[in-house]
Amino acid sequence: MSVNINGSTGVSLVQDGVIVTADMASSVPLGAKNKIINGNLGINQRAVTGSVVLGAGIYGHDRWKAGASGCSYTFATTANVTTITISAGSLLQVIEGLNLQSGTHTLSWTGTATAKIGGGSYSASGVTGTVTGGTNMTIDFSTGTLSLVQLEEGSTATPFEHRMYGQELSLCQRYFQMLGGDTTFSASHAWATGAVFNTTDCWMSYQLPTTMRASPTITNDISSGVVQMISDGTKTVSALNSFSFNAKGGRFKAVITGGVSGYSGVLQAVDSDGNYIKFAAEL
Amino acid sequence: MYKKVNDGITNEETNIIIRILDNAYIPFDPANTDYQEYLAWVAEGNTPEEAD
Repeated sequence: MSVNINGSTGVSLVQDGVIVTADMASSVPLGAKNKIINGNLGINQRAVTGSVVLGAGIYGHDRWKAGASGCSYTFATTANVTTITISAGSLLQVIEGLNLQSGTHTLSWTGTATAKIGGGSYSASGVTGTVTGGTNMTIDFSTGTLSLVQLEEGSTATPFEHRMYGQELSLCQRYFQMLGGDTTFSASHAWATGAVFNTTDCWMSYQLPTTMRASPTITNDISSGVVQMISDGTKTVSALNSFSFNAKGGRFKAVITGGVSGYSGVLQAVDSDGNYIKFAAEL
Repeated sequence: MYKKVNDGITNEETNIIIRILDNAYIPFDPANTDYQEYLAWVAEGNTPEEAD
């Protein structure tokens, strides 16, 4: 087996003088070609379920958000491939300009949905468009089914690039990540550690596992179950506030009663209760 | 729609704004799209509430 490099036919795989795979760059998946994040739709940190109804600009599966008219969809996963069926509205992904190079790009997917690149028109899989490197760009899906979404350089659609789950999750976490929300995890889970400042304030430190695109917007809800502080005994946390984070991490305050200054504290919650802290740096 | 927030230790005004609708903490980071929306809201002549 050898590799044949030819100026007109590209890089080919040759065996016994016969080309086995011609123009490999166009016919075989080569690494890091897919500009879509979560193109396999397998990352769902927000844990949307059932019939998903999103208002305009609201995110469902990671990196996918509703268009200006919202989006209604269902989804199913078979053999590790998730297929979304859009029944109304549109589903978008904004691609960060830092990941784009100028030139013709091809958008491909499996399914009946139609899509467009930027301001183009909706078409079936194999849509081409011109991309400007360094500038954010939006791809937009209308009603129908879609899975295995890929945007790549060039004018030819090639096989979908399957990335490792952990790699894909990390790519998603640049834009969104959360503590809590894991419906399958019913035991107490340590969220952060800190120190008791006075009777009511315990200051917590938390380093984000993935550096985010920007300093994140932070929301939290601890009304769905008991969030505790393990310090000089177990204390119920009544609120989380005073969040101050950059793209790498930061601190916040857990409000307790009967704190003793100088003690350390561990903030813990039961993920399946529905409590969460969300960090968002979406586009 | 928005409210200023003071630092929990120093009680001085921070470079964070709270979106009242969902109590979201929005940092003054030009790359943060929620902050960009806040700036657009201010540019329309609106003013955030003072911190508690």
